[in-house]
Amino acid sequence: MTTGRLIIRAPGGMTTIQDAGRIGSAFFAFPRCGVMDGQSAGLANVLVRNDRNAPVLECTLVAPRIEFQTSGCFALTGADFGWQLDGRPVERDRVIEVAAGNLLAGGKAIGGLRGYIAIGGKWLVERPLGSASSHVVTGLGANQGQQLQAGFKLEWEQPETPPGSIGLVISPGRRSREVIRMVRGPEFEWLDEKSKQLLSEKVFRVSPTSNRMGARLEGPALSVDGKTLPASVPVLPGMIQLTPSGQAIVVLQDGQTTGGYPRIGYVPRSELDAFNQIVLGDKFRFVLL
Amino acid sequence: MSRSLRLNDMDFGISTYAEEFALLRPGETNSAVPLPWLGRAILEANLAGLQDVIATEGEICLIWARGQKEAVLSQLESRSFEWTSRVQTWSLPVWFEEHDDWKLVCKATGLSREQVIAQLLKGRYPVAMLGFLPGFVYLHGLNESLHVPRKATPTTQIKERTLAIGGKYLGLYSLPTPAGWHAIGRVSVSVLDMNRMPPVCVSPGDVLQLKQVDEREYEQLLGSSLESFQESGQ
Repeated sequence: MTTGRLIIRAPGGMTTIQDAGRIGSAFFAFPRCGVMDGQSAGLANVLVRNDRNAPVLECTLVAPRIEFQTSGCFALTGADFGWQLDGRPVERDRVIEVAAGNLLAGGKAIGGLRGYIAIGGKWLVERPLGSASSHVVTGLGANQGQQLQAGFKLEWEQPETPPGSIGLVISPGRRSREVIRMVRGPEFEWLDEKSKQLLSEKVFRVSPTSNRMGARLEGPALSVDGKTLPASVPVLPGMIQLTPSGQAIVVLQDGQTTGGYPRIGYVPRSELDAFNQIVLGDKFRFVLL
Repeated sequence: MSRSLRLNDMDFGISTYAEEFALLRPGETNSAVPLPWLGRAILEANLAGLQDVIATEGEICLIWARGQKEAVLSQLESRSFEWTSRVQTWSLPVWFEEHDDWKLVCKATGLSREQVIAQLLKGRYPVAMLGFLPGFVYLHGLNESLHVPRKATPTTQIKERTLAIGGKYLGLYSLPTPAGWHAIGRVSVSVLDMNRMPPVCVSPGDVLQLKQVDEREYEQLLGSSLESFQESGQ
C-alpha cells in the first residue's frame, strides 16, 4: 500500500472534511452534519471510484490552496471556484491526475456557494461515531471537528488501480437556483391564509448571518397568530421553522435535533442540496409541492 | 399523507413528509408508555432501512434511507418493543456555585438560595428526553415551587456540566453552548462520552438524584467515571 498526501497551504473561506453524515445518533441529540450538497459530493466521489458517501473536502465561498505532495487523482464538483492546477484552468466534473508538487488553487465561488474535492482512495481520517464529518461544537470528525488550517496534511491509501476517465458524466450543473420546492410542515396549517399565500408567492433571501446550523430567511413576515408549541418537537435538516418575529429559519446539517418553533415547511433532501448552493443575499422563491 | 399504527397496544397517527420521514403521535386516549422510552426501543431494534429516531414527549420522528418508507413502516406494524435495559439510578455530585442566575431564580420562586437547594435535594429526577444538543438531558420531577420561566434572551455560553432550571424541567448541559435556562450548579461527572456508542450514558426513564458537594469536593471528583455514582441495588 502506498500513501498519498496533500497539504493545505491556505484554508480559503471555510474548508472542512465532510461525508454523508453521522447516521444513527440523532436520538442522542447529535446533529447529522455531513456535506451540504449531497449530489455534488456524491458525484465527485463516483468520478474517482470512491464510495459515494466517502469523505470529501467541502469548500465554502473562497477556494483553499492545496499542494499535492504525492501523485493522486481528484475530481472537483459543485460551485465554480475558477479552479486552476499550477496556474492552468481545470474543469469540474471529471477526473484529474496530479503529480507531486502540483498546486490546486481557485478564487471566489461564482453562481453557487460550495464546492467539493474528492480524492481517489481510502482517506486516513478519524471517524468518531461512524463518520468523518466535522462538527465544531462537539469536536467530532476529522481534524477534531475543526475547519482546516494552513499546514493541515491529509493522507489516503492510494487505490490499486487508477480510476481512469468516465466517458459520460451527467452533471447536476450545480448553480444557484431561484426556485426551491418544499412540502407542508407539521404546523403548516397554523399559518393564516395571507401567510400561506406570501410563503408561496413572495421572494425570500438567504441572510448572510446563516451558517451550517441554519439559514435565516429574509422576506415577508409570516404569522401563526401567536400559536406556540407546548413542548419541544423533533426537527431535522430541511425543516422550516417560524420564529416569533415572523422570519423563518431552515434547519441545516449541523442544526439541533429538537426545537420549539412551529414547523411550517420541509425542504426535501434533493432540494436542500440546491438550497445550500444559493448565494447569500440572493433571491429565491418557494414552490409548494 | 396520514395513516395509523398500533404499537405496544397504543394507537398512533402517522404523518409522512416528502417520503423521507414520519412523525408518530399517540392517539388521545392512551399514554401508557413514555414516547422517549419507546423511541429508544425502536432505535435499538435496528430496523432495516431506518437511519435515525428522534423522540420527544409528544412525537417520535423516524428518518429512513431513500426509498425505505414502506420497509420501515411495515416492520412496525402491530409490534411490541421490549426494551430490556434496566432502569438505572445515579446520585450526581452537584456544587451549587455562586451564579448571577440565582438572583432570578430566587426572585421568581420567592425562596432563598438555601431553600431552593433544600427542595432540589429532596427530588428524584427521571430522564424525560434527550434533545437540543449532544449531552443535554431534560429531567422531570422538578417541584412546582421551583418552576422558573426560561430566559427571554439566552446566555451566549454556559459552562460544561451545568445544572439548570427551565420552566417545568431541570436540565443538564454537558457541553459549553448557548443557554436559555437558569444555571444553578455544576456537576463533577459527565453523562456524555463521545468515544462510545451510545454516546450519552443515561436513557429516558433513568433516574438522577442530587448530592450536594462543596467546591473542594467538586474539584476532587472531576473526571470520575459516572459508574461510581450509580446507586446500588437498582
